[in-house]
Amino acid sequence: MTVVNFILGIQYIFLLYFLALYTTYFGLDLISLLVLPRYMHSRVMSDLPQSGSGFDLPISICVSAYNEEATIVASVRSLLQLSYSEFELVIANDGSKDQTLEVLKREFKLVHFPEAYRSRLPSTPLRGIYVSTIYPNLRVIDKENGGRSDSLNATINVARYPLICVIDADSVLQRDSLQRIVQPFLDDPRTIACGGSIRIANGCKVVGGFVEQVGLSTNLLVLFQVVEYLRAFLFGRLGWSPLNGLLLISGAFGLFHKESVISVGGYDKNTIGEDMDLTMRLHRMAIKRGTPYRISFVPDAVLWTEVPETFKVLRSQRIRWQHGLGECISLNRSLFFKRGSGAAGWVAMPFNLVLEWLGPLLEVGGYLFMVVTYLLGLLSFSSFVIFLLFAIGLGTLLSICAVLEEEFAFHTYPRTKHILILFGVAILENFGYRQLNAFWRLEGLFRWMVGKKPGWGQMTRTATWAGAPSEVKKGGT
Amino acid sequence: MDFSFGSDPGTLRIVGFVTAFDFALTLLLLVLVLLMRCALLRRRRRRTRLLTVWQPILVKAVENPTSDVPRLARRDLPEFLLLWNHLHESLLDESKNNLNQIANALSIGSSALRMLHRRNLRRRLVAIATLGQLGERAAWDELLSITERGKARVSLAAARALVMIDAPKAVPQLIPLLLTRTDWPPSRVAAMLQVAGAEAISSPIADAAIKSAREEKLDGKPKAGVNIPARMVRYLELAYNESALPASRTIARLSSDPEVLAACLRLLESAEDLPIIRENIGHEDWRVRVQAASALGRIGEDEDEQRLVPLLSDTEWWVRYRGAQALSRLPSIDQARLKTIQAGQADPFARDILTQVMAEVELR
Repeated sequence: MTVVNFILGIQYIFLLYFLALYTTYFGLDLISLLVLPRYMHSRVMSDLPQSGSGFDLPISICVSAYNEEATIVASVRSLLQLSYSEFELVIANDGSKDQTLEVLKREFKLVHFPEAYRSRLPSTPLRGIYVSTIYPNLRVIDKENGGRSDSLNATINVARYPLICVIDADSVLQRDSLQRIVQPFLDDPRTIACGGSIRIANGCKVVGGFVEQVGLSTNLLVLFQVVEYLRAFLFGRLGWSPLNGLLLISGAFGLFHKESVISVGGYDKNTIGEDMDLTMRLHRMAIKRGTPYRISFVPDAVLWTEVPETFKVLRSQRIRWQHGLGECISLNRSLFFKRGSGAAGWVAMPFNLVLEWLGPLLEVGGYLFMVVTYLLGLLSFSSFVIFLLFAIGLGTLLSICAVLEEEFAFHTYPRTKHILILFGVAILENFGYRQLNAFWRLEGLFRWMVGKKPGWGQMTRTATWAGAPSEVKKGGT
Repeated sequence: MDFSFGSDPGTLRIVGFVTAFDFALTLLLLVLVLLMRCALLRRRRRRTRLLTVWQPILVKAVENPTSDVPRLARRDLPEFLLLWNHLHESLLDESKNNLNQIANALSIGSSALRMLHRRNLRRRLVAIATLGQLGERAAWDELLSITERGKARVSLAAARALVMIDAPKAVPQLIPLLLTRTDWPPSRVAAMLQVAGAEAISSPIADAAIKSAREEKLDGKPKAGVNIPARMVRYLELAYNESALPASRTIARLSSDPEVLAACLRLLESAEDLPIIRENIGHEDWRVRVQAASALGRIGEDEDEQRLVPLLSDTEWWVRYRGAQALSRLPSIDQARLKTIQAGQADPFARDILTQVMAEVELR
């Protein structure tokens, strides 16, 4: 076999990858298109004013804060205003080097409290626990720095309620999000975890800790991410949810059955993709026990978060995500094709391994392959263009479907101009952005293979929407 | 070259066709999204017009009943019903009648009855809620049938509508369903029972709870993994004490299921219940011990101190915590006594939990 024949032979690998990827994506899209209308219709009753039955499930909101002095007060105030019948707020100050604890003490009149701390999950030593004399449902843990997973474990240790809601300190929760995300737990007692939608706050107007006016950023990089997030949440998560194949409840916003989280050992502080790892371990635990369980997703429980605005930060985020994916798949490999694992073990895990984790290798390889075959004269220019348009067309179609679902169900973006911009971005992202992303992910894949851990990078948050100074630099905890 | 699909004219034709189809579909979706946006804007404009006309009328009608209302366009009906139901849910009983007067003038009842047969889930749910608010007796059989056969969400909405129409008549028909509809979420059932009111549910729910506990004792295993007796006992919290307390005492003696027993202990609150509470303070299941400790916190006497102190060293944090809280609430216990008890504890867990509870008492 000549080199040319070999090159031509591997075309089938790329073809298979391409077909499998888009078949799965369109399959998930179809599922979410079927599920979404029914969900939206059934929502009509919960939109009516209702008084609590006294049987609602109380929730402990767990937040890890590291160097958040600029935004923490606004975040806590908005969380305290959430519309839900019974909840407590547990904030962990993860050894911040700034004045995070001091501003919390001052603003919420915190006093030291001798809580009989239960160390059910591992975390770094505690320096103290504080309670607010103004808000009885607010407690703050001061602890030595141990990272986000470590401090979330500490908050879970002191959480009093059966459900824990994990959210990012620098994000904005929609006022009714708790009411919405708890619904699967009320409707189906088998539910052990549930995720909500993450939307992008860049470009939005935030007043009093809540998004008052939804808008789009003028930064093209942010706009690409808006479309990406729509795809990821509206048909990624929504498509896997009815199959019980959801492998990721985002660490930015998720609701968990506390005892289930504790029984799997909480967050693993040594893992980069700690949220995905936790979700996978929850699957494994429930399958091992043979108990029926559900891991769900609620599309209209929304958390607004700020995304990277520079290539540098975005690159480090994507490398980290890809590294985390590899780590999670490797750590939870026993989930593959496990008896009784259903869609999680038989479809979602192989999908994540072959199409998501190895995907960048095949994607970048595919681009190179096309160029090489074209240069070798094995592919005519017209064929080259046709295949390129084919790939771009399918990618665009997927993004447009996500925009369609958004418009059908939520109408989040108020102006027609916004929709047209998203359409334009859905097309434009195929010319450079997707390829760049594939390269970054490939870098993450290689880093995992050689065992080199990526850093958190330095996320530069403008945070103007949270009433903070113009720029807040924040390293990962 | 022969096996390169990239150069095969047939393959290229297919790929080219799919690509063209793909772009055409993308364009079509763009048009669809824009049409959806136009429809949304139209709906919003209509809604604004509807609100401008009807909101003042409905709000005024809350104070002064009236039947003199403008004509309602057929296509405005779904939006009007949402507005009407929204207002209804926010009002007290007397004012609701005034809203019903307007609905009757617009023949909303018959329209809602027709909407019950729609395939659209949203419209069906709105129709069910409307019929309930209107107290539309003509819908009774249909709603009952939906309650018995419909999926969880629709059937519970229909059950709620039935109790709104006639609670005393609905409750005896619905209570047996509580024993079989394991798909009905307790929080939503509780909300429905609250609408029915303690007067209507107390006796039937107490009888049903005892019946379910007896059946559980005979059968020995829960239906579809759901502990129905425990659920029924929880619903007793919504009933009058005169029905709930005797029922929970009976069930506490009948059932050996820890979940049921714990649910019963949550309810007990009179001195005559002390023997059964004290009996369970050392139960092997921690959920029972927690509830027993909480119950002593409500009605315990000074002599219970000796029963509560061992709980401070329990293996379960919640038992220690509730035990310490109960101790702090005993009639003649003060901070000084708590400190003395604490000083006598060798177990650091017991000392810690007492420190916490003493701090809580001080904060209060």
